[in-house]
Amino acid sequence: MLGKTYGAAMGLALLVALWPSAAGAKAGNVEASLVASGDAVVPGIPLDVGIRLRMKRGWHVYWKNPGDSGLPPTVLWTLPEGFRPGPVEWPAPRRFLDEGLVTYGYHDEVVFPARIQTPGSLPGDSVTIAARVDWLECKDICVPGSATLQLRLPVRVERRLYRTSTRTLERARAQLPESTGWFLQAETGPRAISLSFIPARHLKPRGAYFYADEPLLVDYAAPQGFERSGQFWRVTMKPAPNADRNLDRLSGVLVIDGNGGSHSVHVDVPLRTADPEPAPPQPLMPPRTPSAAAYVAILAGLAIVLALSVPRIFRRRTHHN
Amino acid sequence: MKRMAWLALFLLFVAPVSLARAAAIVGQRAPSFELRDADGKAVKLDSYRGKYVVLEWTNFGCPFVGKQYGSGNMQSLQKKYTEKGVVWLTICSSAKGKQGYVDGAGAKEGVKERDAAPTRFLLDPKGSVGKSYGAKTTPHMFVIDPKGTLIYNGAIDDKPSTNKDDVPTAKNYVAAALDESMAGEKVAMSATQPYGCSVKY
Repeated sequence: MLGKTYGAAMGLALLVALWPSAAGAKAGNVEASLVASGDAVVPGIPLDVGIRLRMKRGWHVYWKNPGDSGLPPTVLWTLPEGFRPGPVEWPAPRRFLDEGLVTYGYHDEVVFPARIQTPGSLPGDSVTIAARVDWLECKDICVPGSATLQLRLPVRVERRLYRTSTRTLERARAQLPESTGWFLQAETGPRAISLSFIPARHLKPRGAYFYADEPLLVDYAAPQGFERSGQFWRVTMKPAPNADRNLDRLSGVLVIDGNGGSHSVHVDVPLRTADPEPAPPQPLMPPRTPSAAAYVAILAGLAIVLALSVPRIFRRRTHHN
Repeated sequence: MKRMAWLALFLLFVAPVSLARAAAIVGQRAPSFELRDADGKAVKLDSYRGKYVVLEWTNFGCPFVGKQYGSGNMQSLQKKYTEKGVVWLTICSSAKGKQGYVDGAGAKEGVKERDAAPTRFLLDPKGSVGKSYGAKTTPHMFVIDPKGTLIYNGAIDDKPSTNKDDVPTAKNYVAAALDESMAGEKVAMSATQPYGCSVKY
């Protein structure tokens, strides 16, 4: 009886979790889908949507600046009249190392949120939001992927029926780099590009990495430097061999490895010409914390060891008897 | 069993190490090299002094290379500029067993299939020349002037995509660098970020 109730509850939870999600399309190693924040469109209230890409193990897609190779995904909206799409937002990327080349992107799953403005009144009783998404998926080889995603939503004028964000979109928004009031200062010179920062007090930076928006500015494959000097922390990048020397702003995402995980912030500051010194280099790739899959593998390994040794112990005992 | 466990731990936790790489710097002398071509003949970059040289990194399995050859763009660039006396060297740095790797016969077949017209197709399976130039993607293009100075390093054009339809409206950086330099002008875009598949070293 209890089991049955539990099962029903689980089923209901699953249904709730799936309900506001959307039409998806599978292409190769990446599954694309369009998710919306609500189960309906309310005229005049912005509609939060997200492009979700789920990748097979080992495959990745790219950030807006892909790094040494690759290509960022693109989204082309087809929206009803009066709807205006906002920019697609990019969660903080991670880096991938491949034969000495470093690229920026995402693995497992990524959701790119976007906010769509809706008109004050809507004639029909439903609307269709469509997005054509193109991406490059890479593992040891690269394959272009593409999907046309559609989401049909009923139009509701009663505001009380409007549902708030789904967890998928909430999680995605939480992974966007934060716009902060931190002190940030950037300098460039022949030896290094330096970004000084004072993070929020509760963060205790152990390392930092700067993902530059601008192509041909930093050498992606060179380890970045990191140090604390006085009240500042500093991350330094090696300039790209053929770097554009005339840039007057530094923009991108600063990811800080601190207590409680990583923290990412938007950077868009003037780039002053000077001769900053490179800070002591950090490892090119972040220290690997075992993933959930690795833990499962370790547990499985332990289970095998136990399974192999337990009968042996048992046998030994019977022998003694 | 114990050794296996240590090996597993080692593989799980030890971060991979990247190799230090050189790069070809615009305005400096292009790195010299000698490679075998598809016929097994030795080809020296220095023997082309006095001529413009284009280096094109390729991998026939890469969709970005497919965009340029599938649209006929790469072939027409090769024909147009070799007719003007430019030396066009297509180089493959894919390691044996990796995507795009070709031996001499495979290279010739690939060239024939595509009706490509490079001056030579060079084989760099060890990747040493690719790494000395800092070749990152396929395609990744380099232009060397008759004095042996690098005048362009970067993407083939300004439309990063795998879509053939983008070719007609793209600005081709290689053609622009050659045209400008041949006209005695300064190359306006002498370095760009290349786009494409990573070179399969």
